[in-house]
Amino acid sequence: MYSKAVFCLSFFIGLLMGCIQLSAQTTIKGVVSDGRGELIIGANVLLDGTYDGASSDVEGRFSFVTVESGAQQLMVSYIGYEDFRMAIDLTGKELEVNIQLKEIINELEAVVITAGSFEASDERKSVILKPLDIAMTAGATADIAGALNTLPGTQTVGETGQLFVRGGSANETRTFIDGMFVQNPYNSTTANLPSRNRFSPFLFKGTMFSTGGYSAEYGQALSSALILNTQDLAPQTLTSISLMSVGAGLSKTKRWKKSSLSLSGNYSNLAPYTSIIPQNIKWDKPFQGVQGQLVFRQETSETGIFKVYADLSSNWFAMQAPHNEDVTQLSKLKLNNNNFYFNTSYREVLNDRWSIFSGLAYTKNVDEVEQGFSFDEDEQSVQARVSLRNHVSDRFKVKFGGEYLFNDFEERFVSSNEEPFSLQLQDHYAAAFVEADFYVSNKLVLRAGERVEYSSLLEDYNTALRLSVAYQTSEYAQFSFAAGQFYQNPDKEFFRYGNEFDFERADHYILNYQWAKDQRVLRVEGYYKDYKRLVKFSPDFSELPNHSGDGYARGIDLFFRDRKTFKNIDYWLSYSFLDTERDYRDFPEAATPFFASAHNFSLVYKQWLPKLNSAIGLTYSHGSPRPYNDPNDVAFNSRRTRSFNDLSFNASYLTNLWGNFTVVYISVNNVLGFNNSFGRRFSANPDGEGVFRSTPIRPPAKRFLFVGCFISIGQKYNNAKQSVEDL
Amino acid sequence: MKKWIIFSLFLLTGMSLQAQNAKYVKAMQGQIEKMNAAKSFDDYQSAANGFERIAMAEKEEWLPLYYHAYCHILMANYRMQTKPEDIDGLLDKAQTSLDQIRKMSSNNSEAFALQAYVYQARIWAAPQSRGAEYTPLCYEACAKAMAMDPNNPRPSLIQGQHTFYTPTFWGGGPEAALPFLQKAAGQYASFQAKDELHPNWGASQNQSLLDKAIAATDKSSEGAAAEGAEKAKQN
Repeated sequence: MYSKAVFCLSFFIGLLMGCIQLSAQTTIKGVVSDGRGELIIGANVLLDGTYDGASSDVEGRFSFVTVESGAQQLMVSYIGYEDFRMAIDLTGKELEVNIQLKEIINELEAVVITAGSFEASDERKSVILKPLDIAMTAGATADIAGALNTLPGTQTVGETGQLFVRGGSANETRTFIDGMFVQNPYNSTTANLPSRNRFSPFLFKGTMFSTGGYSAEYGQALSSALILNTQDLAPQTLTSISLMSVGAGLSKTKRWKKSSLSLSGNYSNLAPYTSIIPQNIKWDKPFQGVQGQLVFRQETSETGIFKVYADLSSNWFAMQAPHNEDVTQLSKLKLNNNNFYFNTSYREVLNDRWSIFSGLAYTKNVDEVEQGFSFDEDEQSVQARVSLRNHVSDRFKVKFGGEYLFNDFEERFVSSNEEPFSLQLQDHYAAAFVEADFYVSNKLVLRAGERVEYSSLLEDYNTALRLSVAYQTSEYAQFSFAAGQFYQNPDKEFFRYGNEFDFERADHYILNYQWAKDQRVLRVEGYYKDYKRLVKFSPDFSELPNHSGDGYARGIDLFFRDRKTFKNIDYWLSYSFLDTERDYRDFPEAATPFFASAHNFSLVYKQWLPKLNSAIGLTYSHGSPRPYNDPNDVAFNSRRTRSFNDLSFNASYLTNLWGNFTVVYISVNNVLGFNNSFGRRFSANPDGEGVFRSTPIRPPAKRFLFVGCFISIGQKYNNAKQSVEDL
Repeated sequence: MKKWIIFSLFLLTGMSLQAQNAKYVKAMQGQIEKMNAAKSFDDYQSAANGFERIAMAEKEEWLPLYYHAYCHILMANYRMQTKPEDIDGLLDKAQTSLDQIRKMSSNNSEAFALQAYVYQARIWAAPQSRGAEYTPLCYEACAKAMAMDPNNPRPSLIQGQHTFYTPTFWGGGPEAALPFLQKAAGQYASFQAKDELHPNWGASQNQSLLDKAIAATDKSSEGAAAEGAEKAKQN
């Protein structure tokens, strides 16, 4: 019994001793810094599983005392850095550990390659534009191309309404929606009537406008890629009505928990408008159009979404237009257009490493033009695409994929006094690409991509290499460089005359500097573009169409945007200098093409008037004279258009109509009434005296006035779709 | 003898458990004091780090996570004027803690109120473009928090605060915020925290917003102001 008591006592004493022994204190101290030796303030240093620890102070130092002993885990953490763990042995002796934390490479934080690209998005901090900027730029009347024309690198070509980038023709800019190629991004027009983009800017949550050096993911564009990403789930159930000076629309959106469906219809008719506002052209039947749209979204998981977008539209008009043979004679020209566009895509994050994107698209477009002759164009295409992205590590990412596109094109020309012709083309186009991003640090990223394309029409394939690098020189400044090879099939019209063609090619070299701080952005970009293998022929076909054409474009683009200096005011300035010549098509020598102007300047100004619930905007655009050819002259392309000037104004007023959120919008182009002219159009053949008669090319009207009222029924106040300051 | 040993062991574990609990309470009190006395970003960082250390040792407790998240929201607020690009990183930290709480229990009213606060704070990073996305999320979380505990004043405060700073046109502004702030004031008056470790913040924040809201309403319309003031008095 006694011995048991002794045992018991010694047991307790032993326990107590143990406790005392455990209470021996150890001091742990040190300094926390990052890989580049910068001190980290506020890092959490702790012994895992205990309360013991400290924060690093303003000098990166920490120090704490612990009563723990033996083997322990020291852990250090700080925002933006990987957790640091280290085994330590606590013996009561002071321990000094200096810790270096490793930066987490975060795509949203890391340097972004900006060479050649303008991104509009709400997600990244590096963006220059927000999606709404596109919708609300004065002069653009909510046209994507119109808004992007206020960015540097674009040339104003008023008679087309399309995007011309860095000395490239309109066809050298390709539009992609959710990764899928868009066959007919613009409304069909003819006779120098400017067209509009078919797609409303409100469909998209992100826009990437590349003026060169774009990713290997995309192809078939010599100059520029316009990459549009559609909105995800509609935020709420809503009915909207739009009443405009040029038509009306109705849209109904239903939101379920994980899916949404929108149906909308639009009718446009310019007849009432053209009867009030004086026109430069005589309309027989002003522009009319109907459009139906379906947008469906289904969230397939937390990270996956399935999208369907379908758009069916029909447009027609008739006007007095110059005759091709003698442009001083006018006769009735009729155009009918029917277009169907269908795009479905699915994206999903498969696991920590893999994500997948796939898409399927179909387009059919039919144009019928009549003016004594009849000219029909019927084109359809199907495209399928799959790409995979592998997040190998935070520093290394690989994307690869493939696409297939079948294009079926047919045109027929029938005339009583001219030789009829028809053309049928079919192209099976396939491409594969791989692109890797390597983040050396958050400040330095390298990208290398390769694209291989095959076209059955050309019976040929090409491989294009694209490289870019971005380096952040300070917190606010960075340089990017991009170089790459870009290929495109020749325009279909050339196949009327021959088929000995090859992929047309352009090589891009771009150096970009960007400074961005506190809502101010400055960009300077220099580029050189080398064109090869362009289609070339002589006007009399003594030289058969071939691919011996070439050319160059070089220039400097400047951009400055400031949202900071003046309260409620946002403005940007763009200036582009362009020097370009090419020897292609029927050019007798290397010359500057008609769509290239040396100097382009835009000033975009937006001001929000909070007390009036209104926003106003002004855009001034200037384009220096462009060359055009007068066949009566000996010298080629020796004539110059007048310089282009435009001052546009818009205003929007937000109010409530019967308790429903309503925007009243007005926009006027060419407020000051500049007398713009885009050169002259010449008759195809000389008259009796050997003179090619001509007629000036003018905008359809001196000014364009647009008034609209957009009512959102069921939009609750507190479910604000956007803050007013956006407008 | 065996019984003795078992008894003493039992006693020992009991004592040590109690000691453990006392240690936890003391550590939490220390950090809460630190947090309440914080006057700078770095002070809150230091308090947040303390809560994080406790949270990592006490995997069953939600309060250290709660305060860790709360400190990060306040830290984000400091960055609103100076470095808005840091806000998301701070709120991601807060969100991680809130996600952990949600795994412990799915009907924690305080955690949902804080969740609403995080959504509100997301807007600070880009007020012009994020209102659309986060306003409904904020109100939804407020509603959930209110439903889980109708006596909790913090969801009313956060909803009131959000409404207060939402442009008048979108149904926000001082006048619209008044009912929420008044409701919160009433709830604060009778609110008793479960113990000294449980959330008990916001009464003075609510009062100062309420005063501002009443003053602003006063200016805009006499009648509504009188009514508002009366309501405030009633509360």
